[in-house]
Amino acid sequence: MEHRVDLKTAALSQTSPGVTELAVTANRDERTAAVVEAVLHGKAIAIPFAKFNDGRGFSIAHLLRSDHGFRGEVRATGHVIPDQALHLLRAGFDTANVVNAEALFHWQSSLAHYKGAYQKAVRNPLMQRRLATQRIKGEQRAAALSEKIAKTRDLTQRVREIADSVEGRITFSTSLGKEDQAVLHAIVSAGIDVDVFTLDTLRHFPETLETLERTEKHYGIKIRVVTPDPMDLEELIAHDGEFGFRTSVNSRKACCMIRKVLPLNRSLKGAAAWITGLRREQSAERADVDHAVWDADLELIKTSPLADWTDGELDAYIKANDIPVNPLHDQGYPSIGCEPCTRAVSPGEDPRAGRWWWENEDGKECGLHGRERRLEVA
Amino acid sequence: MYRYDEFDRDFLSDRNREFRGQVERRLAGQLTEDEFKPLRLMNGLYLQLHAYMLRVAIPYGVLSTRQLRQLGMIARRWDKGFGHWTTRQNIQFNWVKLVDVPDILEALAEVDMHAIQTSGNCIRNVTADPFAGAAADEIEDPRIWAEILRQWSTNHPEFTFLPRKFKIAITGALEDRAAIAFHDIGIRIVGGPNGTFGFRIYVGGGQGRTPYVAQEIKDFLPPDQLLSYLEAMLRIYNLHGRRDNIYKARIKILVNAIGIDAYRTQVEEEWERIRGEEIDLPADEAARIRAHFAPPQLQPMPVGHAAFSKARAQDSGFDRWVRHNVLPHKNPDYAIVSIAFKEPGRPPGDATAEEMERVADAADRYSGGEVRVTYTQNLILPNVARADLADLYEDLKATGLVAGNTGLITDIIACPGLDYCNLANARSLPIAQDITERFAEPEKAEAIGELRLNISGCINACGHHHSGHIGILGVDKKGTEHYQITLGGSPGDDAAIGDIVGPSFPAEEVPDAIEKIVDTYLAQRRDEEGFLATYARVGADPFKEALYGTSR
Repeated sequence: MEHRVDLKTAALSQTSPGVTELAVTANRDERTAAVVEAVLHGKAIAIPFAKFNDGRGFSIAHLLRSDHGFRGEVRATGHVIPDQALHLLRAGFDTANVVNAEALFHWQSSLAHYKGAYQKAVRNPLMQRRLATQRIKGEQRAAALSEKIAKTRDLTQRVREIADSVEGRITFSTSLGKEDQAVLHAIVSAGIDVDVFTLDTLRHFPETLETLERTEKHYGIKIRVVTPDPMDLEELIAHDGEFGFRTSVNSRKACCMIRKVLPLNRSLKGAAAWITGLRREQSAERADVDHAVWDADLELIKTSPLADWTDGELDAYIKANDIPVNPLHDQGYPSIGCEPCTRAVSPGEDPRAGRWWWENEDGKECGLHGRERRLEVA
Repeated sequence: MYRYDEFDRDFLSDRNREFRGQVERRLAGQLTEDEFKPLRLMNGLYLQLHAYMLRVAIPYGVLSTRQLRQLGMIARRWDKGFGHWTTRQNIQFNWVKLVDVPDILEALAEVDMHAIQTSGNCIRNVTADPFAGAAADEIEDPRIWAEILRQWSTNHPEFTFLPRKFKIAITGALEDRAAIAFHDIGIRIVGGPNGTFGFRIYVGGGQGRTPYVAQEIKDFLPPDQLLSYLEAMLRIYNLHGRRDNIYKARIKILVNAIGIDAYRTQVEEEWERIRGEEIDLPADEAARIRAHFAPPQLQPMPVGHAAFSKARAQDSGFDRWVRHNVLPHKNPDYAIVSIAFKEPGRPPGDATAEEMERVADAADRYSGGEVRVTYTQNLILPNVARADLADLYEDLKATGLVAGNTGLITDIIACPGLDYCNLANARSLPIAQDITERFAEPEKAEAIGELRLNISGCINACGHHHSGHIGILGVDKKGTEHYQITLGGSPGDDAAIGDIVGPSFPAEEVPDAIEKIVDTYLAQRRDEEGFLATYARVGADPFKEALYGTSR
């Protein structure tokens, strides 16, 4: 029985599309013909290695991706060895033939051997040298800040530490939920210079928008309102309809992407730090939230001054400081998102159970905070 | 010099962990020797006549004293107390055990060193002008670009299983001291308009059984496009280089088979296609690497001319050493000093652990802690104050490393030859020793003047015999070691391949033959004429006559 390893997941490949074979001596016309056939018939392109150290296949795979723009499966067949796993993946292969299922272990360990790579390749699953310098410095600064924040439980003092440690623009994205209201209170009390904004998805509860107005008046501040790109929105609705998010997780994620993630990314661009109201007690997925981490994708320090606060601490803080909160919290909404996608939860339910409640429990993030590891570039 | 950060250290420790696992799989029989071979080669490990040999990379020949001392430690602990400077600015340990290699690699990693890609069919350690950063005739420091190339070529996903080994050399000075014409890719930094610089790229040079001088492929390449251009060059080679015959697999064979113009056309077409793919380094990353090579802060240290002249007059050894081993520096108060591992009787390039440590001491005291390895198998102290030269000479005297013969006939390049290498036909080191003893009289060597004499133990030409003014090649003649002599080769700006002068000689006749060649040159030369000029003017005949008599 033939086995194949999926280089992106390091597991045995489950799919078995038909293949069109492409010799390592193929010229451009022959490569084009193979790509046309593979695309038309949904086939994989197999590149046979006569011997593992005949490295022509690596250049052929590179060309299929970069010259021909082929997106389908590229498979290494013939004599390839586990020690080449990362070379294959980075040169553009998806799968490789494995002599026997026991050898899978060596492929897996080979794929996990390196954290970094020096050069840009077709696929860049590893940290690249050219991006590492900023990351190393960012991680060091974030770790130092995290330590400082952890030294006090006083929220005002914590946001002050952020302001003292960060050079450049500090942003705070508020959902107007109670965590963010507490953080905003601390920011105002500390008197620090922070760019405060909220993402108006155009689908919010009226109560949320009322809270926005009430908050601005209460603190005498302006909160910048960021809305989705109208062109993006038009395209989304044309494609999925007004309520497409109910039909599939992908459609829902596209909706979150256009209404929240992209506007957020635009607002964070160029910022040196981002303050969030994330708390470990909010959900299992947030259980490991750090006070400050380097976000390599956004290239900024992401801070969560409330990370280790308990529900009780938060409620006491809000009460003691008479902080305005969204009235929906008292009606069974611990976590408040867009109106069509949020319901009230019963006592004892997970606080985020009311978000996209029709979906599976796993991965219920809109994409603002949880990011999947990206193996794919094309 | 380049200093590792967390990223580089993580990479190296990942690499060493990977190789440790591969060694364990080999020892457990899970990898065949056939499968293990390319993996060990990519980590510098050869299987030679008597033992494994580990070739350690010295990127572009640059060493800190901390690294040099660690090499000494490795020589003591895991070898027989010595190492061998190679003709590609590396060091070889000839007596290591396979089971120890992972530990040796870890010891190297402690000082940011490795043996990655010092062999195998991949891009090898990039070599450069050993005077980089100090040379008086420098346009741009080539170490910056050699380091950029080192990083780009390390564990390259596409170019790790090439048809054959691939060697790149770069020089940034007016005079080529990196033998770029004898490399798969040779890079010469040239001045551009308005104080800018660029790269002139040569391809297809090499020695071996089919020697070629590299040909120009690109007249002027802007610096920020080096990686994409090389990537295009390598891709065409990877796809079209021959794989059916190991002796015809180097890029020089491809370039000469299809012609430089056809090869250039293919490369330029591919380069146009990939120029937008961001292969080239972003400016900030190039600047990060450049910052590691900032010129040292050299204090003004004018030499007292009277004292210096007096010291030279009092000690003829010092005087000779200053004439030949002290070379001009960018800063007139300073000098580049060559420490010769070539005194009569020494196998060229062999260095004991103690010598490594003593040179490290001298470099710490007199040269800001930096040492270079030359492809001619000597060491260089790049930044020595002229005022310190006499003291340095006295310190080196204690080590015996004061031969004042850099560039002279006894400054021989030689491969390890049949004493170690399983490819060799003949021994190289005893021949080199015999010749250095024949010309041991310093006045005799000095009277001959500059002369490059190179010895290879076989046609693979690791001893660069093709590019020697006088080249000696070990051949197997009906089971006995014989030596063929070539004349007129040159590694430099006038790069040339030597001509075979006639039938080969048995080992015991070689010193006589060399002496006859030298005597012929001395008899024929006019004024200050160098060996190559004389040879070009009079041709091979007078030399043939001296060697073989008129009857031939």
